[in-house]
Amino acid sequence: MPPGTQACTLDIEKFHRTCAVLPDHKPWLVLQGHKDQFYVDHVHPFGASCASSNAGMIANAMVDIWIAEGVKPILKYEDDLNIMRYPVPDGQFKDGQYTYAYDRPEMLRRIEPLKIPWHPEKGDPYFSSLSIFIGMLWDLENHRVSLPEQKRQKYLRRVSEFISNFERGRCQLRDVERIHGSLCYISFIFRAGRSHLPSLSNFAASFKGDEFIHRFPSRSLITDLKWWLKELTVMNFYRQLIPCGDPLDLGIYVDASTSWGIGIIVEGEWLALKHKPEWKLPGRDIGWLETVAAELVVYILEARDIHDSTVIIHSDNQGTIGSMTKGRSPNPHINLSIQRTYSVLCPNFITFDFKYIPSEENPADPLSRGELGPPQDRMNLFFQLPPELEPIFVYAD
Amino acid sequence: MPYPGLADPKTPEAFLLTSKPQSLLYPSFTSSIIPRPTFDANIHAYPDVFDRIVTPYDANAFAFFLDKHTLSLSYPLLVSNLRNGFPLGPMPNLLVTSVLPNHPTVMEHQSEVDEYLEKEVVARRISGPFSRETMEQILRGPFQSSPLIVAVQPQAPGEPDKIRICRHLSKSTRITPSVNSFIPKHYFPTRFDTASRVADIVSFLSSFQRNASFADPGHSNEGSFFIHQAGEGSFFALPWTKVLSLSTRLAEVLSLRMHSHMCQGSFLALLSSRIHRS
Repeated sequence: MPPGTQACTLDIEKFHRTCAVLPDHKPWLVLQGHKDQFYVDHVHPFGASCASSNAGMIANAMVDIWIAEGVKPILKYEDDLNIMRYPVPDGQFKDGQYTYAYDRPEMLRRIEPLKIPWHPEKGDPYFSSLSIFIGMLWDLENHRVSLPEQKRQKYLRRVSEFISNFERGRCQLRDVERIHGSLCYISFIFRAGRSHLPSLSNFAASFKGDEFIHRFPSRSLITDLKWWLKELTVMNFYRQLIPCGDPLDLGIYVDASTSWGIGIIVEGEWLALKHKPEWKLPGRDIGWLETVAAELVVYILEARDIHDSTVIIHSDNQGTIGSMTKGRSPNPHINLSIQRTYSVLCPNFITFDFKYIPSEENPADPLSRGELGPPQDRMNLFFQLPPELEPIFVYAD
Repeated sequence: MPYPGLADPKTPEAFLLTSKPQSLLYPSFTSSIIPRPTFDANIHAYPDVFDRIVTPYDANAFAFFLDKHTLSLSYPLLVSNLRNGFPLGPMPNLLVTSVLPNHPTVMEHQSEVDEYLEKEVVARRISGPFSRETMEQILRGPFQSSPLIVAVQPQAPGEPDKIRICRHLSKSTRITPSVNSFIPKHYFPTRFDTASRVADIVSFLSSFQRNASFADPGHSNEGSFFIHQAGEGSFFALPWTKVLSLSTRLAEVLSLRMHSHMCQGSFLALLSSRIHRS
């Protein structure tokens, strides 16, 4: 794909409501206005489980037809379409230094007979390297994704209202679910935010599905929302979308044991940290130790000035692999470790690619049980441990 | 934060793989449809309301284009559904009329609800209001009325809240199962281009800008090949059909495991690494 790729967003108006219902199934779609005043739906309502698929069948066929008519690539999310174009040598449609196979009117003309009801206001009036799709602003030239300014203000307001309403007051399940849903969505842009979500999902779970009770949010939830507030206050924040290429395999192995401590191997050099008895608190278990082992790797990578890379880490703990990859954990101790990890990963544009290795094949396994490696291979690196870890770990040599 | 993307984003073909829509298999419910009685003027009313098909699409044009591009086999039900209406699912025989009361939020926003209903009537997307008896005459038997619910969505500062009036089709009572309980989700496939998928494509753009050539492996599902560069100078080809079946299987596994639209884009990363290794 040469430079000059552009996109144009279009929206199908009242998408689900364009999909007619089989008359024999209309008896399932009655609604009531005032008492004993009934209405029947002729089209799919948004809340029907089949609505996305049935309306989607129409839109998918439209997309496939459009691609066959030479308009591509096309991205679609429900009623939201993002049509792209790239420069072609003999294109009839000129924009700046590039020529393209179609412009907006031409691409619409190609499937005009299908009578798609395009929304007159939503979407882009022309092709551009900046396009809003699925509520996010995509910058094709600079390869970035960000929140449109209006959305940033909307989410900022949502967070700030939640804090002011419920910092000292009780809220209902729907209040938590709404803010949690919004923040989950935008954590695609705010990657470090993923570890500032579990306090919300834990709190939502504490309602046990009861829509009517009121509960006080936890202090950690308010702390997390204040983190979001701070992030959302910054204008023009974006996530850079860089293909990392082939993952970097530095021979990184991590392991931990409850009996001794943590072992790490990077490029044949080892590092071991013995834990003190104080490490064991409720909630801190082998899963936490294994996560901390992976956390320590980011400090090593940072010290080695590694950035803009996907880095392979071998671990024998599936729990750690899962929560580190997801960027969150319901266990608050593990979640704190993930938060610290991502606060280093994100600014350095590093992504971890975890590979599972059975314990017996993990070269870091003996280290974690206190069987240290040869002194000449000990990693010549000491870094300041985070305050939570500093009192409970000592470097072994 | 960079998006890890596909294992080797240097090939332009990978871009087309990423941007290529996945094929879906739509099950047919024709044999499960329980027809309502034929219109009988003595006991039924307003046949035009029962029979009304409201859609902006031109079914004949869809038929023409699907045929023109040999896509009819991918959408065997579409043209008939556009003409006759889409089935909701394998719905059972509805034997008694059930009326589930509206959510309390409807009372709080009665004028907005009235306005909404009027607008829908004018647009011919709903018909009413009718009494319970008339509705049973129109629908030629019992019906199920699901609750309306009003959702308020706060907007950016200075903008009024958005009011959304929805049917709560998942609402059930002890004696009345919800409408949605009869609609198994797995019979209703969907494809969504999620943020992750867009990120793949947008991140690819940067690598293509470093690559001069752009070859289109063709956009027909049949007979064309996905050419993948497995390493320096070594290429192998997979038929598109195989790539698509692999992607469909992975998507199914992922959607079963995660039940989330947001994750579906990531199957492409998996797909690519799977192909890369094979």
